[in-house]
Amino acid sequence: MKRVILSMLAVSALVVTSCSSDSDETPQVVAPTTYTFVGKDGKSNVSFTGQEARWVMASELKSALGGDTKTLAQLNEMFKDGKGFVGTIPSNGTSVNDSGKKLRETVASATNSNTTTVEEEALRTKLDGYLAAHAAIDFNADASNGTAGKLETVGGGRTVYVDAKGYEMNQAVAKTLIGSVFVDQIVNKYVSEGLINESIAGNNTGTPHKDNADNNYTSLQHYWDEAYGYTFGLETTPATPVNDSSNRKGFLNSYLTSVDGDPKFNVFDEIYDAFKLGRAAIDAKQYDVVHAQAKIIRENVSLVIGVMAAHYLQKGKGVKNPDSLHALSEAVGFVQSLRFAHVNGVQIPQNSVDQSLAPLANLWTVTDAQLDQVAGIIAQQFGFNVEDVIDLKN
Amino acid sequence: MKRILYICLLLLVIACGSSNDDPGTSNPDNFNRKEMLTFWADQVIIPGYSDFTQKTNSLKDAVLSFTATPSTANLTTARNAWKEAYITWQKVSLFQIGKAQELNMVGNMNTIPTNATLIDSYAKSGSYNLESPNLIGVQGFPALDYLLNGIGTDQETITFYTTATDAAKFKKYLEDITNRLYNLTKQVSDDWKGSYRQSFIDNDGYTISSSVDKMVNFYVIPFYEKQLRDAKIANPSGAKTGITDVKLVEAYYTKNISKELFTTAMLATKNFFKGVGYNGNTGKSLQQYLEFLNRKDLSDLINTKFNDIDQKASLLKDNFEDQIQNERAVFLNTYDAMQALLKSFKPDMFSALSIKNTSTDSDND
Repeated sequence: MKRVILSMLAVSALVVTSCSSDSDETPQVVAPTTYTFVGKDGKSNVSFTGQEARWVMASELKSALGGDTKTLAQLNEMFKDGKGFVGTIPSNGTSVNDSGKKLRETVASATNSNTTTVEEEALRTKLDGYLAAHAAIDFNADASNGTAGKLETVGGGRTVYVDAKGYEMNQAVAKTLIGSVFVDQIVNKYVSEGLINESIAGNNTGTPHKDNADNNYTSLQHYWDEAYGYTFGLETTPATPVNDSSNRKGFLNSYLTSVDGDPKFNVFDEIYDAFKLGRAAIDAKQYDVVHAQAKIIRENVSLVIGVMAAHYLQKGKGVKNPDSLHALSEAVGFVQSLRFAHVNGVQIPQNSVDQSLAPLANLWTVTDAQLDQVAGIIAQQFGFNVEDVIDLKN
Repeated sequence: MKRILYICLLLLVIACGSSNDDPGTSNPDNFNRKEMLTFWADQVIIPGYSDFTQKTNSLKDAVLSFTATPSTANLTTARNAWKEAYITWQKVSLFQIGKAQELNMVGNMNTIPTNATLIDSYAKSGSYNLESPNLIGVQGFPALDYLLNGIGTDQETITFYTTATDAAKFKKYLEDITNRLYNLTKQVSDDWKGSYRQSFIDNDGYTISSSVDKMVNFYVIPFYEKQLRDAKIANPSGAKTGITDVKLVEAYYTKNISKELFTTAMLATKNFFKGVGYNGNTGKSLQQYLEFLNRKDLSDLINTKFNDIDQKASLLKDNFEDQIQNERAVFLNTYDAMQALLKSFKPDMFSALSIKNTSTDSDND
């Protein structure tokens, strides 16, 4: 055991670049240039295949809900049972059907979230309802207020399917999953204060995750990597994510680049740098630094949800057509996701989210004034201006 | 705890909603926006929509007379009523605010081109949901243009609505879209005559949701840029794409009123800027606003550009389809003059008036 600790220290020493501090204190840890870390065996000890699996599943479910080919039974199988997918986990090529991951049971499940079981059940049931509503659409009908069906952009460039309330379910579901699965898992579990504190002892002793000697990482290292996987796991090279809004990689990741496209927000680098520095600090056992980076990640990931919610509420103003209903369906999902986001270190309460959702019950009839009001409340919570998020490109 | 949260939310809502009622704190200028809004409502929009309601009502009566008795005389009356209403639409189409926006008046009244093939199939099926955004291209003035002016000679048209197969179905369709055109118009007009007028005027603040900011945004981008410059000039002549498509000419089946539709809309645009009311009286305007802010240079420039557009457009002929094929440069020159004015609107007038351009045209999917 002593040897293990010694070798861990040696690895840590490699990671921790020496610095010019003139005191005898521990040298300040610095972030490596890429998200690359190795275990005591000298091999990479970064792994997040479970996160990749959930991303692939969410992506396929979204596609299925955008089309007219899947039955309700097939949609439910994908959402509840984690089966019926064709995709594979990018890093190891195995079928996501064999991953054992199930999206529905992960919804609103983070250990350190303050959601109640009743809330969790209600959200899962609501998503079930979204799937059912999509499957019930007459895909040949011309949709209007009160009539589910198809909507075509002028010129027939794109067809979207909406329910009688104007909800485009692939958007409402996908964006709700961004918050209730991915953001929740990141901020309320893997980089939550509680989980970090619980995992420090095992990290100090170099105990392998789950006491399984096959794992060349500690629990704390692994949790951090899982949060990273939820953020950058679908990048072509996850260790070096590319901040390019024209080449989006995954759901949450896409919106990091969207928000970052506006010079007022620098979320992409903030989050990436915090992940790198935090992981290096875990390896160096500098837990103040770990906590500080975790806080940066929680704040910035949350901000992305707030900005996108307000953005799509603004974008959905005006005449109701495939484009505005599409934007508002995204807004519904992001507003729902706010429940899992933090403002000043605290999750946004359910009744605040419910108030914002109320005018979005029917997207055909929501007024611009209502959309401005909801966007205004969200902007005030996060401390940005609505005007700054209307067009995220300038 | 729950109660405290509700109170907090309520306070937030109040804080947001009341910003317009407190002109002392954040007004960038002292221009009397309320007076301008009152002029717009009482002297421009409400009389405009009253007139348009009358014209669409006459159109409805004329079409119903024609479908009841498809005679040459009734056809002529219906066509004339259609033309009068279409011209009047040009004077009110820039007010895409309130009910007009909610009902998508621009889309439902004037989506170009109309889809004749789809009209035929919907009419014959007897089953159509005119409220669906999918059907904006098969109703409104362009669809009526097809059904009244695009079927053939007078006699052929009368036959089409009397003895031809599906005559009854096409009559029904013609009636349905005419009724809808009137009903939509009446809803907008009634809303202005009801409670909307006062809330429009009272919303005289300086936020993206205040009446002036919204009107200026509608005026410049969805109306001037998209409806006037693009739909009427650029799209059929290919001024932006280099590809002409005469099927995109406004009033394609009538042929000879395209210029009048354009110049009517252009005059409405100019009058709105200068502060000339629907019946010719004057009032507070964007021009006065700019002058108030010591930007007479910009308002002069805008007026010069309006005059330049008029000059270029004076060379347009009644029949756009013909002229696009034989004398396209006139369209390109008109487009350039319109483009020059757009630059003075956006960004110059926006920034002079401290109005945020709120148009979003990117998708973040």
